[in-house]
Amino acid sequence: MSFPRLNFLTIDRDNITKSLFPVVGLLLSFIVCGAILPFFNINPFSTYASIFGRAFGTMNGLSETIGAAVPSVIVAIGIVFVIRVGIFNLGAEGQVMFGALGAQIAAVAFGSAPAPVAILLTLLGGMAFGAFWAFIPAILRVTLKVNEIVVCIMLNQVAIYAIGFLVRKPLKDPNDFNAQAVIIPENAWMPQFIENTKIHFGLAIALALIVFIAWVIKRTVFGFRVNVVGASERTAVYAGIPAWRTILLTFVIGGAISGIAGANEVMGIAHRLQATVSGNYGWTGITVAMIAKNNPFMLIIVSVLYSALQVGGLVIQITQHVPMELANIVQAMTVLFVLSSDFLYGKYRQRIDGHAGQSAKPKGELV
Amino acid sequence: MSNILELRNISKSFGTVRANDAISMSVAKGHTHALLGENGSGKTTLMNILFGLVKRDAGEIFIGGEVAEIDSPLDAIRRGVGMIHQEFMLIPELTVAENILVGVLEKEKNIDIKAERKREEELAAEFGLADKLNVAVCRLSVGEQQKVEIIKTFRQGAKIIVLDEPTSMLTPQESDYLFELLNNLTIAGATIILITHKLEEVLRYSDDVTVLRQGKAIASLESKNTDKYELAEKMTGREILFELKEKNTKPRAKRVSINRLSLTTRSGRHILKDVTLDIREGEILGIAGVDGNGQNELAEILAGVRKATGGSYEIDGVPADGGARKLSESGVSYIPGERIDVGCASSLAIASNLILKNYDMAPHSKHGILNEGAIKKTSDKLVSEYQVKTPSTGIPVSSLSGGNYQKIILARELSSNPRFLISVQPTRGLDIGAVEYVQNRLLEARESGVSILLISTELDEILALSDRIAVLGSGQIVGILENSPNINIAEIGLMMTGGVQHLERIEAGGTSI
Repeated sequence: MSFPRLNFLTIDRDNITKSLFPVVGLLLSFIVCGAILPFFNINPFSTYASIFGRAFGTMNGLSETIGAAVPSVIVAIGIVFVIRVGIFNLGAEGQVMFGALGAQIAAVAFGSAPAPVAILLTLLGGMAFGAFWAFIPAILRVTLKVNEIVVCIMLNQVAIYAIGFLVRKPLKDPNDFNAQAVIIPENAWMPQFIENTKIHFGLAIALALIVFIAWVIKRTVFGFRVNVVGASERTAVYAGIPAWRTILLTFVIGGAISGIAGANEVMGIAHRLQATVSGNYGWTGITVAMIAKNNPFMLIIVSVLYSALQVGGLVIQITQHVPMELANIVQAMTVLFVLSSDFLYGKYRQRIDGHAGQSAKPKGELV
Repeated sequence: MSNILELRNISKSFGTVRANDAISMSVAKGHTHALLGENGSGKTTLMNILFGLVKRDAGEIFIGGEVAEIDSPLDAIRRGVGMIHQEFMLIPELTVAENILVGVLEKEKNIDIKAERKREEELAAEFGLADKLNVAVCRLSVGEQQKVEIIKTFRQGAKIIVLDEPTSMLTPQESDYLFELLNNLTIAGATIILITHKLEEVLRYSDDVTVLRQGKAIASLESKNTDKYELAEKMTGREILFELKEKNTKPRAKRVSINRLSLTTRSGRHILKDVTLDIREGEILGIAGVDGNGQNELAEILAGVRKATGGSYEIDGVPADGGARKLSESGVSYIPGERIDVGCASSLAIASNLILKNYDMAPHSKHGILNEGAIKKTSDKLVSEYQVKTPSTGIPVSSLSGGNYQKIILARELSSNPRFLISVQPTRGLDIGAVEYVQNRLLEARESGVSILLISTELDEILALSDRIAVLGSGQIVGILENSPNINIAEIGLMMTGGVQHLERIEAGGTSI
């Protein structure tokens, strides 16, 4: 019996400097925001202490932080996977909503089954519906070359109104005043890791997904195809790799992963479909993926930090009298700084490697 | 002999790269001066400095004995320096006459249109463009557009005309004719600077030559007192033998037979029409032709990347169809013309690119899971066997030089023991050493019995390697010739341009071949 080879989990050595730049960007954004806050008569130190103290220091806060990080990171890993094939899945928000819908339907249908079976089937329901919502832009893209970004953004709107309609009319819980679906059977609920918190089985699913997707990308034949198609579709065609099938399948898998995030919300938090079920995680996930530079393991750190800012942002309104808008600005600054670190990294490489147009190496030397 | 142009200690760095390192050169009035060097040796940078497109870090320029401060192309034009780039700077929608006029107007505002028109007519007649003066530039051939550029530059009053690789898009006749015209200009008092990496061109057409290597001027020689061995050594820094492997074996049985392959666009335009060819075992069939006459499409169809609209082809009597992957498995290898976008997925690791066509087979994978160890073993073996210079197989292909890039593709395509190899422009843009390497590998493959279709726009390469030569013009096979040392190059050149029209021009120009 040998140990499984886990070296696909490591970050490529060439990427270490590259991964450092976003971290520097993150720290810079804290410093700059900290420099702004005094102009509003706000003490930056106590504000940051309050944000992170709330987000990590109390069980309640930690529950909120993890509760927000889990769906974000699930969406983000799907985004990272789909980006490998060269597609930017901006439809995650709609796929999350449809995943939640699928979970609601499956849970109601199979809720009488024993818990593990019910949970599995409910997750599968969420995945199927999320996949379906990604299949539409995917098939349009590969057959008719329709721009997937436009279709995705449109479908997000369709999903919002479709779910809104469903929870108000056909799926509405008749015994409830609010527009929400019936509570799903308890067998389909996510088991809680810590009582009365949002820390539940979804966390394990998220971590497993990250490892699994990283493994697929680096270690499987399918992942190999995804990488080639993403690097150059023309090379893929040249090598006889079925480019359009790979794109379609990857996109649909990405949708299924977003669907898990939706199912996670229904099964773990609300226990029913609501119009607000997506919690914007479709968008948060995209942001997290971008900040983490599509690196699977950076996703964990980024999603937790990002969620902490959100959770802490709520509380500093009360304790520090910082308006929510300022907390949002801090978040936006983080994104800006980290994304521009990409540009700075490019500049840095240019200085190291010399002018882009002129190669420093002598070419074609044989001896 | 007076020097019309002197460059003294010109230096220019991009980042940490010294593109020009204290280069000095003198150009004699009325001479054709070749600037020879490999890709990246700094010759275009140096000339861009002279033309005011690139700002120099240090050094002085003297034109006609006076210090010339050149900060922009307009300065250069005022000083009588003109430059013709590989990409022409013409306005495609305007006519030849209008384009020339635009050039003149850049320099002076008050011109006598009638006199100018007359002058243009004279020049156009001299250049064999008399009937093209009122034709839009986009309707002209590349060779004709180049002549318009030369007329335009000359009319701007250029006394020093720099041409950047002017023959790269021309047939042999067109090249001869071009230099005939340039020679006339030098007799009229102009000075020509010829940027090139082709040794033959230097020896044949230039009076003097300056050799650059890695940003330094290595030597200045009189062209008649040197030979290609000396030039190649100065250019590369080591001895080049120009010895391709002997062709020993005689071609054997017929292996590939291509039967009336056609490709028609939806709008009914023929890209390829009834292409019929046979290639024998151990034979190199060269396809000569000007770029854009259906070569790429032919290669893609044969490799299964593109579907033909008519015709078929067989390998050893078995119909070859079923897409790129199936053909590759049945022994078809393909070295595409576009190395960076097609031949390799540049951002992926060398190892991935080496197993691009057998990643999903044993030993590289099992049950859909890649075997890292086997992949590393294969790629390490190929990298050493094909002498790819790289620190590891884990780095992206994009960090390699052109020659090493092509070696990755060669390694992948030849290591599968193909029966039929399609090779498009295998040495384009490579340096002498890498060219030699690639060509010898192709000859080795031929020795071992591979049938090779060699598509190249470099006629010299076709002549050096092929057993037979087919000429492709406007998507049709114009003719097939046996290759021999005394093959009629003029005939091939004529076929390449479709014949008749070109012949007239040569006669009018009085070029001897």
